[in-house]
This record gives sequence, structure tokens and C-alpha cells, in this order.
Amino acid sequence: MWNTFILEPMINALILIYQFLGQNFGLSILLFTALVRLITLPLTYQQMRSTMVMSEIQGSDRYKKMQEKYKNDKQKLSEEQMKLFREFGYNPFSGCLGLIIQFPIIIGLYQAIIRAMAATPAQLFDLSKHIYNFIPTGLIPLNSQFLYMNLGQPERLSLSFLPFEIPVLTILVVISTYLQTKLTTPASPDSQGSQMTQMMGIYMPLLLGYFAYTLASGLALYFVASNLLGIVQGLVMRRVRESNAGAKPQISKG
Amino acid sequence: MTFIKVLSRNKWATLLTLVIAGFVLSSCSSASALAASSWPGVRADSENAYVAYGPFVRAISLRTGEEQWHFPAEADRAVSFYAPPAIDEEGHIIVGGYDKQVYSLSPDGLSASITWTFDGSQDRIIGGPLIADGTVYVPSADRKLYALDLETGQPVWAQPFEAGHSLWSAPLMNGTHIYIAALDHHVYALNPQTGAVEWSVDLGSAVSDTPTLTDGLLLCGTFEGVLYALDTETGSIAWTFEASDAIWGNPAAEGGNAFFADVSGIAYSVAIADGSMNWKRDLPGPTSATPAILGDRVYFASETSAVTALVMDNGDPAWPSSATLTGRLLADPIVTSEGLLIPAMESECELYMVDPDTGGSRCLFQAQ
Repeated sequence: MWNTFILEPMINALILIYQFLGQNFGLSILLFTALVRLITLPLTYQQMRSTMVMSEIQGSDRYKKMQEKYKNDKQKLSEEQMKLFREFGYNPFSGCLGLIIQFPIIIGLYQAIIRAMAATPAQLFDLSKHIYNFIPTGLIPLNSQFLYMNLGQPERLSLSFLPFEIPVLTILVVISTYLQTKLTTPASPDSQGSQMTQMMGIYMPLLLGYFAYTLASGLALYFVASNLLGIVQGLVMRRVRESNAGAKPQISKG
Repeated sequence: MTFIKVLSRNKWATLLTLVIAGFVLSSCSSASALAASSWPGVRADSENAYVAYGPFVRAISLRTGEEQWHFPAEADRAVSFYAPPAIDEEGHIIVGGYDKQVYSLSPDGLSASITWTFDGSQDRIIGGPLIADGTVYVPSADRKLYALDLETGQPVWAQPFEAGHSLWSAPLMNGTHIYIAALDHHVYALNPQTGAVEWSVDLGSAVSDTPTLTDGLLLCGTFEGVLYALDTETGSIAWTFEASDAIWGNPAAEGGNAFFADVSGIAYSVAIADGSMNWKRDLPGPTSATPAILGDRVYFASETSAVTALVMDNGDPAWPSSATLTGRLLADPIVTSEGLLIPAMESECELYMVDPDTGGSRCLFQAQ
């Protein structure tokens, strides 16, 4: 089920893009990542919008006053919050739903890139069983050389005048993940939310940085591309919301 | 109250989802990219099997299954082995690692000491080295074939031979040429003294396994599912045979016939003289291994844990049913003095010994 509907279409699409781009696997990863993000844009948009609206609501005076006023009456607090959400068209479930639907697509994309790189005989043998008949067999295995990198190996830049190697992609992954996390999880006014945001801001860049440092650089390239697109998307959305802010109801009114 | 919970959960759900994603990605990675695992690389002499699999190269007694030694003495996360070791009658043991190093080993108690190492490879050693005439030829995923002095590990050629893609197969020698198949779709014949290309042939798709040298021909199975017979002197194509699917494991040759299977699990017998098909039979599963031949039988190992014995003359089953082992049987079966040695991947038992007459099996070696 997973292989048939998610993994195999992604692997074969990736290989077709590879063929279309003159058998450049690095460019294929970049374009494929962009396409998948484009397809999932409505879901991502919904999720990011939901996060931003919620952040605005939680930062408003009205929300804080409401928390204080009904702190001993949870039922009433819930009712008042619901009113506020309705005013701003906020659906508490919409953000989660978008993320949950995106999840298998992200995992599928990740697995497709790993499988397509097929850096060992066993992986190549497994790949051969996932390829559609119309894919030219001459394309397999893919050429994993991109710029100075072997995309099947962890990336290190070696400069003749330096006694050590620089993990350029790892550094880019950590920075871009940090920026994207900051952008998509705005600061929360309550301490619980703030703590969580801080955790995400530290945990995610380190986790993905570790992957980028130890795993095939094709994955690191995907992380960087995906993060950069996410950052651009987040900035555009933020700009649009700011420009439309005048047309919205004023949250601060009490 | 419900929506307060949802509210507070919303962000936590986001974090939880990301954490789960992290674990999923992590587990995917360890299964494929990080572990970079493949099937065991195995060679055998009259007494021992030499198994390169994961963190160790091991010498295992064929008779008792006892480990004689392993290298390195302690596992190192940065070092792993999957290329079949090269061994010769003088006791040389050469093994290439996924750490890009080539090691010449000498058994030393329960471990092995290093006689020399070669660190000139820029990528992993996936194909098995070849020892011939005092030289060891080492194929590398960095696209190069290195010729090293067997005693010192020093390069013999002025420059290593370089193909257009990785070398995953082992080189072959017939006295006058070194042959190597590359993932760049080519088969190359090289001068053993200099590494110069004598001829090369583009077969249109990759040859991942070591070709078979027989009767003045080089038999090469391709990803396109075509078996090519090349003249060893000129590289000209003598004949071709089209299988139903990609051919990974190259043929075993005996009595003027070649025996092989394709990835979809169909076994074939073709005449080496002209490539005409003698018979074909369905196997229990996908097959990547070169079959083994003993007596009048040919033995196929399939990914689905099955070993099948067929009569060479007509392809009829030699056992009442296939022997069922455990794990993925992707490595080549090997005929030994004690029976049929079957390496298993992703199995608690790394090595099985199968009775070639009856199909009865026992676990020869199980890693602790």
C-alpha cells in the first residue's frame, strides 16, 4: 500500500526528472523537492496560517484578559475562546490536519531520495524492484556526482589551505532549519508554549544537522532545499498577512 | 474545556509530529543510508569461510562453524565490510572496507594483524579484490581499479584505471587481460602490467556483478535483462540472450551451458556456444546470486529464503521442494568440502550449510 501509492510513484517521478534534467541527480532533488512543496502548498498554507492566527490571538490583550477573568471557570473560558476563534475564522483542528496529511508525503519524499540513491548493492537490488517498466534501465544506477559532492556519501569540503574538512551542507541545514523553525513557530506568550518553541528551535536544527553530517549528502541537499522553500513561503505569508492586517478585526479590543 | 485542550494540544501536536518524524527519519536512515548495509561477501578455502559482513571479517570453520578469528578485534562504527575477501593458497587475505581502506591481514590468535593497508581509494570498496601474479587488483566505488603489490600494498600501475561510474564487481583475469565490469554500462579489458585499456564495450545498461569467464567468452548480465557473450580477445559480441527481467547474478558455467536467474526469479540454462535456451524454470523469489554447480545439479538461492536445486540437463527439481532457510539470500551460494554454503542477510543465522543431496540444512554460524 505504502510502496504502491506513495513510495514507487515518488521514486519513479524522481528518476524521470533525473532523465529530464540531463541525469543530474542534485538538480533532480532540488526540482523534485520544489514540486512536492508546490503540490502540498495548500496544506502548508493552511498549517502556517493557522499557526500565525493562533499566535496573534494568544498575543492579544483580549485573550490575556479572558484567561485572567475566567481562570477559575474553565467551562466559561472555553466558551469565550470559541467565540473569539469564530470571530477570527480560526479552526483549532486545521493546523494539525494539514501537518498530519503532509507527514506521509514528507516521509515518502525522504525515502524516495534514499532509495533512488542506492549506494550499496542491496539498495540497488531493492530499487530495481520498485522501478516502473517504462523507465529506461540505462538510467540505473543514478549518477550521484553533484558539484564537488558524491550525493551517496556525507559531504565535506576539503580546501588545500585548511588542515580540516568543512561540512558545508551540515552548517546550511542547521542554519536553515533554525530559521524555518523560528519562522513557522512564532513566539508564544504563555510559558508552556514558549518552552515548546524553544525546544523546537534547538531540537530540530540539531537533529537534522546530525542527519546531514552522518548520512548521504543527497538528503542534506533535500533538507536545505526544503528549508529554504519553507522560509520563502513563510516570509511571503507573513508579508501578505501584515499587508492585510488593516482589513481584519482588531484583536486588542476588549 | 474540550477546545482548551485542543488549543494546548495543537502546538504540542505539532511538536509531537515533528519528534515522530525525527524518529521515523532516524529509523529509515539506520536501515538504509546510515548502516549502508548489503549482503555478506564470502569466500571459502578447504577449511574456512571468510565472511565480510558488517563490522567484522571473520574466518569460520566449515566443519564446526566455530569462529577462528575476526578483524578488527573490536567493532568500530566507522569500519564495515561487505566485499568478498580475496584469499590465495599462500595465506594472503585481502579485504576492502566501506571505510575506503584496503587491508592485508594475517591471522594472529583470535584476531588478525594488519600486514599493510592502502588508503588511496576515495570511496568504498564494494567489489571483491582479485589476487593474481603477485598483484592484488582492487575495484572501488570511486570508479578506479587499483593494482597493488601483494606483499607491500604499493601501487603497481603509474595511474589506476578509471571508469565512468563506480566499480562494484570483482575483476577477472585470464592470463592476458584483466576484465572489469562497471556501472557505466561498459566492460573493460585492461593490460595487467599497465592498466591500459585494451578494449571496452558499451552494453547499454549497468553490469553490477562479476562477469563469467568461460570458453573464450565473457558472459555479462545487464540491468536491461540481456545476457551478452563477449569475445575475450576483441570484445566483440558473440551472441545475446534476452531474459524476462534484469540480470544481477551472472551465470555459472558447466558442460557447455550457462545457468543464471533474473531478478524476477526465473532460472535459465543457455548453450554457451550460441546462446540458445535449453530450459527455463520459475524460482520461489527474486534472485540476485550467481548459482552454484555441483555434480549434475545447479543450486539457486532466492531472496525469499529459499534454496532450489535443479537438474542441469533438464531443469527438473532435484529435491522434493526448495529448502527454506531464514533471511534474504542475496549472496552467492558456495560449494565447499562440507556442503553448500549459503550466506544470509538480515537473519539471525549468517551462514547455513545445506546438504546438496537432500536439501537438509543447519545453521553453521550465528553471530553473537
